[in-house]
Amino acid sequence: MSLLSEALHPTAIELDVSAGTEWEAIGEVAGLLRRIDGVVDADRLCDEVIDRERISSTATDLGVAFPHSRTSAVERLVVALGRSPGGVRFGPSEHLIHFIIVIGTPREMVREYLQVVAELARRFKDAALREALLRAGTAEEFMAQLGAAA
Amino acid sequence: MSTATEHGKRSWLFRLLRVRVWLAEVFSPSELQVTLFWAGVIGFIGALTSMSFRGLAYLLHLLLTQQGSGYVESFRHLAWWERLLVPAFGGLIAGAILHASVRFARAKSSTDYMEAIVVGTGVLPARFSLIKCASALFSIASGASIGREGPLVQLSSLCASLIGRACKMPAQRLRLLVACGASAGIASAYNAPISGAMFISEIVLGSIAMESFGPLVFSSVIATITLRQTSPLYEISMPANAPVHANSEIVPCMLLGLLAGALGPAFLKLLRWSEKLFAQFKLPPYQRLPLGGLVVGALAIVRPEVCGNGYSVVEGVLKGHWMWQPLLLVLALKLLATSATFGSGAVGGVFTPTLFVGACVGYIFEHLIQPLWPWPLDVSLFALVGMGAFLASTTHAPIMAILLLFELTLDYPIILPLMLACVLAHYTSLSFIKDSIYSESLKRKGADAFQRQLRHLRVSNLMKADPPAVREIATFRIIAQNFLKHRFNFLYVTGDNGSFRGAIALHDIKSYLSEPELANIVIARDLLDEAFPTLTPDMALSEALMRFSHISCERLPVTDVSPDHKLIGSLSKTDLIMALTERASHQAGPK
Repeated sequence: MSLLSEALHPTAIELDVSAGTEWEAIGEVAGLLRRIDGVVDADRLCDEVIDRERISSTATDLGVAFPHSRTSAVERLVVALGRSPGGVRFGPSEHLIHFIIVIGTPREMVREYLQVVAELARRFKDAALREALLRAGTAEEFMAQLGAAA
Repeated sequence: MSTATEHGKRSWLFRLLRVRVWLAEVFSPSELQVTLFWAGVIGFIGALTSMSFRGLAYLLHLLLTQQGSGYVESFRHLAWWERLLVPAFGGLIAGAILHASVRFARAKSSTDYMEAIVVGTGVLPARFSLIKCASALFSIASGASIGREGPLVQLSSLCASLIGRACKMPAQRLRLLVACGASAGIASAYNAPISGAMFISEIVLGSIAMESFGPLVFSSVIATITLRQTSPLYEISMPANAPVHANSEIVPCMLLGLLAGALGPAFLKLLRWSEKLFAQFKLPPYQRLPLGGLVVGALAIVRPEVCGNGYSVVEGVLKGHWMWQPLLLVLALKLLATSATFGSGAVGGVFTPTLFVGACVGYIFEHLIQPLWPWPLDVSLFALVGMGAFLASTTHAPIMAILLLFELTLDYPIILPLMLACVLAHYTSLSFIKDSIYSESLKRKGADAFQRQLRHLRVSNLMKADPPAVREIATFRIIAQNFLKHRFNFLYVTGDNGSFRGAIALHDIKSYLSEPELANIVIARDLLDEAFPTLTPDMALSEALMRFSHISCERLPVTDVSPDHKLIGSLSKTDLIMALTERASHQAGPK
């Protein structure tokens, strides 16, 4: 089982993010982690992810953003994923963001954090995969397409 | 197109960084290993400067005496008035150089290499050191009774100091490099690499901790190899075919050790007395040095053997070519000549004259004791043991004395009597005089004050200012560039106001260096270890060492005591250990 499979639970996937702004979108996706094991304080996690995003935007030209934080609000590495079919404008990026991937990592897990971010960034580079993910009907299908199914 | 170029550049950067990480993991050169490299370079340069000085001294001697042979032989062929005037003329030039140098080049720091290593910051003023060596050149070439090792050590120490300064090394490491230069100088003067390293360890640093001894060995061995490869000239060479020594010689050798132990302090007192005597005249160097030269010249009229470093006489003594009575006269005159040269303030070394006195004492002792001893004694053994014992007695460095004699002779059978005599001479000498020929000089120059200062040394005295650091918002690409630019395994991260936020470990990120996708997603803040230990400037060295024990790294950041904890410097573990080693050796007692 890959680190990503362990970190991403189907209940932490929202295929229809309704928020219209960057901060609301992050809050909505981070809120999915409220029900996930290992999350000590979901509100603080959300605040810290937003604080981090304000310092430097994680939005990429591919329509994917990786808001994240190394924080004591989580006890293990957790990932939540939101899909916004209409897209949300993130920071100064000219491109609309369709995938918002919120990552929470315990402070001491630098290498695991890099591993998950690198893995996700690598997978989302594939335009065909992004297309397939936009078409996915369920969270399970989304995970299967992403290759993150357990 | 521009995106593709950018991507290409990034890939190239990450590939380069991976190679650098791989190299660092395979070779992982610590600061100590880098110091070792420079120690080797200094050894090589030290040997070259030694050869150049010897060549110049030979040419100048040829010019002054029209003789190309050794000093004693040259003076033997001179008329009486020439013997009188040549050392005086050499002294005049040497003194004039010293006098002029005081007028136009006031040195801010001392030119004494021992002082630079023990008391100072490792900085030797170039112009002033060269002037001293030029003065030594004239004294030595004109037959002054002084050794060449002084300026040889001075020159190689100067080169080391200049290299260290060019590389912007911190004071602690600069001092070690100067010590390496001195070690190379001694090694190339006597063709004795072990003794070269041991001389500096035992006498100057007062420690044989591997942090300092390793570079010293490296430097002295490279110097010796270079010299052996390029020049057959050595200060002293010994007969190699010494007979196997009997146990019956042990007891007389021990007696010789006791005698040398008593005579060594007397020799030192004679030198000090001469220094005070010349000082009473209150003459400028251009009058004082020729006066010393005149004394040497006058003595050379009686016996030309008093001239120079005494190399040829020592050779004759070791081969048993002397009757003891004339040798006693030569010894007495040589003592006068050496004290006149030393007392007048001529620049040079007293190491070789010490060996001369020791050889003569041992030789004469053998001749006096043989009629009273039922078993045969080997005269060359006694001359060699006398050299070692007298050296141990005057320098308070018995290990160095034993090793030097062993290296000069490569004759293992002498080791047992030599070791006993050197240790006895050292202990006997200690009961007469606590300071060695070198430590006394250092004491006068304030080494005691430095030792006191060393006890109160703080992190701020050893730290290097402005360490490389990145801001919290630095991207993964900038982080990678910094790791590529600097050799460190930890990169410091600061906030907007310069406050220390933590450090990024190369080890943590090395596996992701080939992921250009991370270049703009990840920033320094995402990677830093906020619990990374820090030091403060007023922290004691022992406490700093404790902090190092918590983490495996070569340097720790130093932050100020303001609420912001601003990053102001970094302290290297090598520098810290070197300072603590020195302190331990100084606390162990005066050397």
